[in-house]
Amino acid sequence: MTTDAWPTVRDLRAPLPGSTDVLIVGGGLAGTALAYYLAQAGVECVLVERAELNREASGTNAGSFHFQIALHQLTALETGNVRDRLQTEVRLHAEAAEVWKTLEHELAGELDIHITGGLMVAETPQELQLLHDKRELEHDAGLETHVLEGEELRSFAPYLADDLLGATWCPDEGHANPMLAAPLFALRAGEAGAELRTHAGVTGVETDPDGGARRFTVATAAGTIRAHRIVDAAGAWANDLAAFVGLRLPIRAEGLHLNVTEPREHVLGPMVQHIGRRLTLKQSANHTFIIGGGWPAHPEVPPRRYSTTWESAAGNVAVAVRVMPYLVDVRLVRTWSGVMAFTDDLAPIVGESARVPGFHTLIATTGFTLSPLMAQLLAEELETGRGKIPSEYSVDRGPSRQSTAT
Amino acid sequence: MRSVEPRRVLIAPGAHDRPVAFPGWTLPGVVTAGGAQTLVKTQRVLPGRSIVFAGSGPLALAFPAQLRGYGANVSLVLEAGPSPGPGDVLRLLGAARGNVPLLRDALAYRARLLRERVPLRYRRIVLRAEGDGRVESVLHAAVDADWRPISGTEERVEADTLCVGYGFFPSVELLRLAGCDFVYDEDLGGPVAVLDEWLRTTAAGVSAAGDGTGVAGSYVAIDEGRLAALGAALDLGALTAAEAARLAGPIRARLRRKERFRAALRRLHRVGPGIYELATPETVVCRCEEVSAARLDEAVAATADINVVKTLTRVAMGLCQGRNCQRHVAATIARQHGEPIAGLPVATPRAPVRPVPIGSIADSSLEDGGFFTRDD
Repeated sequence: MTTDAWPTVRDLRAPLPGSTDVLIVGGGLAGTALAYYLAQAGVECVLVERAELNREASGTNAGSFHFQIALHQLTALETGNVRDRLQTEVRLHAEAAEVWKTLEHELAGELDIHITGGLMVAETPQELQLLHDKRELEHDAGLETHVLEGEELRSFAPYLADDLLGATWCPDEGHANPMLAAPLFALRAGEAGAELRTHAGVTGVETDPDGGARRFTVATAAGTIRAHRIVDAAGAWANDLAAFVGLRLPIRAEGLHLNVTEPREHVLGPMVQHIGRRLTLKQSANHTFIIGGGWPAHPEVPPRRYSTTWESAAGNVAVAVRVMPYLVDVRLVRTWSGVMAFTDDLAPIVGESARVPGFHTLIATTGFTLSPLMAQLLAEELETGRGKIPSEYSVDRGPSRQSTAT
Repeated sequence: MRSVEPRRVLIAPGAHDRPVAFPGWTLPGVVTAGGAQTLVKTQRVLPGRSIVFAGSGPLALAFPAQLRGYGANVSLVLEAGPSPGPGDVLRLLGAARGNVPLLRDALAYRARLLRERVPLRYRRIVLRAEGDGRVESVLHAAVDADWRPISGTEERVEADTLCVGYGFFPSVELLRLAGCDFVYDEDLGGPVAVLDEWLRTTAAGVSAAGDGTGVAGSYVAIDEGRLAALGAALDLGALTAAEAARLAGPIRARLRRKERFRAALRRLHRVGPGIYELATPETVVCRCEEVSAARLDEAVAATADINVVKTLTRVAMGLCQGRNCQRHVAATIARQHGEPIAGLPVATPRAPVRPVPIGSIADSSLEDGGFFTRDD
């Protein structure tokens, strides 16, 4: 990935500093990115990770950049101003795209970023209508998308099944390598002065509202640290930390299934999704096909990792073959699972809690796409006290904003 | 694809070659004993014209002799273990009861090598395979009791083929997926499933038998299969406890005798840790993903967790899913972090274990259960 050495175990397991300004909890993409941006800005910070860096959703997701509006966004919002809400999200995604485009340069390392464009396919007339509906919303929000149909689609994407009715083309979509992003942020964060510690899971938080710069006393598996501010970047386990300060965040954890095949000749440029079925499909930089889209994995009691199920593998690859018949004789090599954080309303939860001053969160549902941007915005707020984080992403919004919340 | 819901499962996955990463091990002309055996026995193709065999254990005697029997020119056999001394012979004779065919086979193999003037050199190991685009020569050296090369003893021999056979590893992926508990036994090939007297694993309803539970050869595998079948019949009420015990008696006696024989050979066949120290920094240790030993070392400096090492380097993430490199990776972690290899967690295996065409498993009748989530 780079010619630089990774941080060593000696660095990552060194004694925990006694105090810091910002304590980041969680060594995934969000946490390491925040550590990097804070350290760049000269803000003192320590990141603690309960196990190893980049082992959960940040390193196990499929690495897609999702900018098009997805079906769950269109259908999950039954109340409120759908149009405004979606447009905020679309604009945010467009900003996230700009961040990703500059990241390899910013971090001086390879992330296998490929802005390939993305296709979202439709099989039925209803689905095709949805593509046209969302195209209008996307256009109004400033995201470039085109609906391709019939012969136009077949000549644009000859690798797709020729009986698909249409597809939305979004030239900004693409993918990066999730195994490279957080480790590179961690490396650069350390170089810029951030302290990173692994095997330092938080076991308790004491809050002293009058403690000023030493407001929080945080017990970890690697010792105790006092902090002026805390950032909860613990992804699917963010509520474990929030509970220590008496907060309950509107998120839940979902285990998702992914598949990877053997490498083949390069035939598929864009990332492919389906407007009505669970599918993401892409051909990676090393020419394997990565197939995901949200099929479930089987929950296990930690520290056992979520197991994959045969049904998810068989069902997921069936959708992939339906959309891209070429795949039928490509060999599946491995399946895996990741545990992702899903906010109840699918919008990020970022910023400081008014109920527990000094306690911040950094959590996004489409975390791979959004985390570098969100980390940048939060770092700016932590540094200057002023930020541009949309108010809809407030930590203190109720856990029941969405009617289908579980 | 079809699902079945059996009341008992017997997992008998067998074993695969113990790969060893040394400079030149990926050159054309280097073959594993298992690969060479398939070529010779099932396809009647000789792996080369001038073959050096480097290995250890029963195979190091048997296979070169078999190759010779097929007309192959085996020019040199390197056995990493010690030559049998008087004590070993006594131990073997003491364990001879029930193992006469094995002893007879071993003597016949040895006699063939002597008759055909194939030199068999003990306590020597391959250091390097050399050549421009394919094997042209093999560098080998004497080793100490830990299989670490003794400097100054290097010799070079010309050959177009190097056959490597340092024993086998149990193929444990299915047993791990079934959730069985494991112990570590280097003499049996590393991590092996915990089994009870009827070869039941610790996972409910799952039994295991054969080389996949510890490499002990075909005679043991057959009897283990019999024993596991009796255990399943007992569990399902097809046999009474007394009937099962009676039928199992002679099988258990044979297995005990085989175990005594293996114990007598342990000094000769024990694998030394030096086998995992032959790679130089530029040696490719993961051939699927082309990861060098230097890159592996760099990642291992950052973590002792094999799953993290995988994501940092892509080691063990290719077609073979780590069958070729995982033990080398584990040995590297153990060495750099000063931990015993036995205590290290193994990388998580995942379905489908072996590559399968998507079309053979795709099932469009499965519903995705609504649409409220997606991956990133």
